[in-house]
Amino acid sequence: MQFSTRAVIDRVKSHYGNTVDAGDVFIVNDPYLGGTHLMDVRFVKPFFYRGEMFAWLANTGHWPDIGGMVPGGFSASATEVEQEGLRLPPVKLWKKGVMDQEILAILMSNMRIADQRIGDIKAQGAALTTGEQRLTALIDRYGASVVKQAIAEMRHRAERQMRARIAAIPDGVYEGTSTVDSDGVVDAPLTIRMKITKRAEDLTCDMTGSSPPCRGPMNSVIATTKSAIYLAIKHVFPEVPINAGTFEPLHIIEPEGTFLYAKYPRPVSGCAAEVSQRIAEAVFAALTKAIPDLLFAAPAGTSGNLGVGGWDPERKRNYIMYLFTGGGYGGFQGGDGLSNGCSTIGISKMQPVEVLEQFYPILFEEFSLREGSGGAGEYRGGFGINYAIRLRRGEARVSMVMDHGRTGPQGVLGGDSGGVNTVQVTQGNTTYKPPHLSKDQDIEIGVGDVVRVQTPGGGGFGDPKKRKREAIARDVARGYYTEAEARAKFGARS
Amino acid sequence: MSTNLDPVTLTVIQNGLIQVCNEMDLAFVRSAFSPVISEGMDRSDGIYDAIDGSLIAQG
Repeated sequence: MQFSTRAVIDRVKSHYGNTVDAGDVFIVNDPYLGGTHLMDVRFVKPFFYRGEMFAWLANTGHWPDIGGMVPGGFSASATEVEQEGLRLPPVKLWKKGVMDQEILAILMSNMRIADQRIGDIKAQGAALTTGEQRLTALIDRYGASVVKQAIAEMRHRAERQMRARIAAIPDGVYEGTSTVDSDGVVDAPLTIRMKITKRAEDLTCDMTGSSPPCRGPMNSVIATTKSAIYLAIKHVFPEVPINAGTFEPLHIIEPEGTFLYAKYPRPVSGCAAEVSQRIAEAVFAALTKAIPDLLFAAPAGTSGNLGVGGWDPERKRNYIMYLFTGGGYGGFQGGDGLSNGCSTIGISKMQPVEVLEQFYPILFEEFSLREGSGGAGEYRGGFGINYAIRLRRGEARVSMVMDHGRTGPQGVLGGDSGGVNTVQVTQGNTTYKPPHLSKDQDIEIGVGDVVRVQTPGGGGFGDPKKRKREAIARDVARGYYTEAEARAKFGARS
Repeated sequence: MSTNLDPVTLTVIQNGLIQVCNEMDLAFVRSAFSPVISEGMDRSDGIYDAIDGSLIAQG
């Protein structure tokens, strides 16, 4: 969010005479101004301590809908950002503590199920008020100058810690690649080429040679591209505290002319949840060559974004169900990957099926471990999940922006890749598979129709033939692999 | 190193700032209507520098 906060600061300078008032709250979701996809809406509020501007408080909430051509915002075939939803430059939704009813009215007229959104908007604003109260209490206790000193020192220390970690990586140039299935419009893969140069205490990331901007919504804005690299490094060195100092030793050459530096009006709905994870995967693949003991094979790397929008005749209301899912993590030196781990870009987790069934007219027919989906390796990948949703009432439209449908999460050091993502929709007596495998929109379903998804398993780490016999026997005993599968994948005779 | 802060105070303030973010997260999740936020926790809260917007703390 530091990029969005910076965009607000620039806006305050250019449009507001560089002044803000206590109680102002900016709302912004413009992807090209430090954002991600349009559904991630940020609120940014100046924080004053005894009349002095001390900091900004900011938060992001994923709104279930922001207008646009499909319920839930994950259009797989948008070719310009206007089709993806309402785009907000930084404007004050609250002015000196009073909500601007005119801006609110515009918002409400441009998204689906607007009456339910007000609950999220107030919650998001209230969270910032809570932050104000707690931060004021903290500063009251220690004094503004001591807290400022601590902030500067924390930043300094985080930078030093990160530099020490980087210094331990052998100097050199390390390359990794990853592939996005397709952009949803043109059925051809997109490639990310990541070249990481390590010298002394600094890392430089160069994505030159990656695919050019694409027609469909799998472009990434620069803020998301940078954040994806930051988070990948944070995954590698999780013990380093996170603040601006953490990323001082990281240098990113802006990938002009590629799909990783989308400019207006390129569509971007896949950037935050999907392309960002492919970028992280390319960073992991590159660094595996430098420091394999600290790395891991690729995780599932798709958020499995699924939007179901429809009409519930029993409750007489429209609804939008948006959900994301977990998948297998990659094997690592000393252990197998986690099964059904949350997507690597955050801590968002799938909502409980019981809650979804209560809110929406659907039934989960299956929610299970996807056995066999972990890539084979000395340390195997974790497993993805299988789920199936049956529509119970009314009719609905289904859209999805997922990935890893064409190739599974890559294995490393001789490990196999994890199982690919699959989607299948049963409509009456026929079965439909999206031509782009992991992306589609406006699939119509009626009562009894079923959406069936398998999420990817993680990649394997190291030569499968080196896997310990007892570990293979345990996996077979638990039903993760059949004996025949274990023989084929691990060369085992159990 | 130009600080007079003792390590204990520094650590307490560092965790205090993270706690401010965690409480924003909690307030948001506990009061949001949509399951994507209240159950899925697809949200984030942070504190940013007054001048350049750089990250100070995140929950």
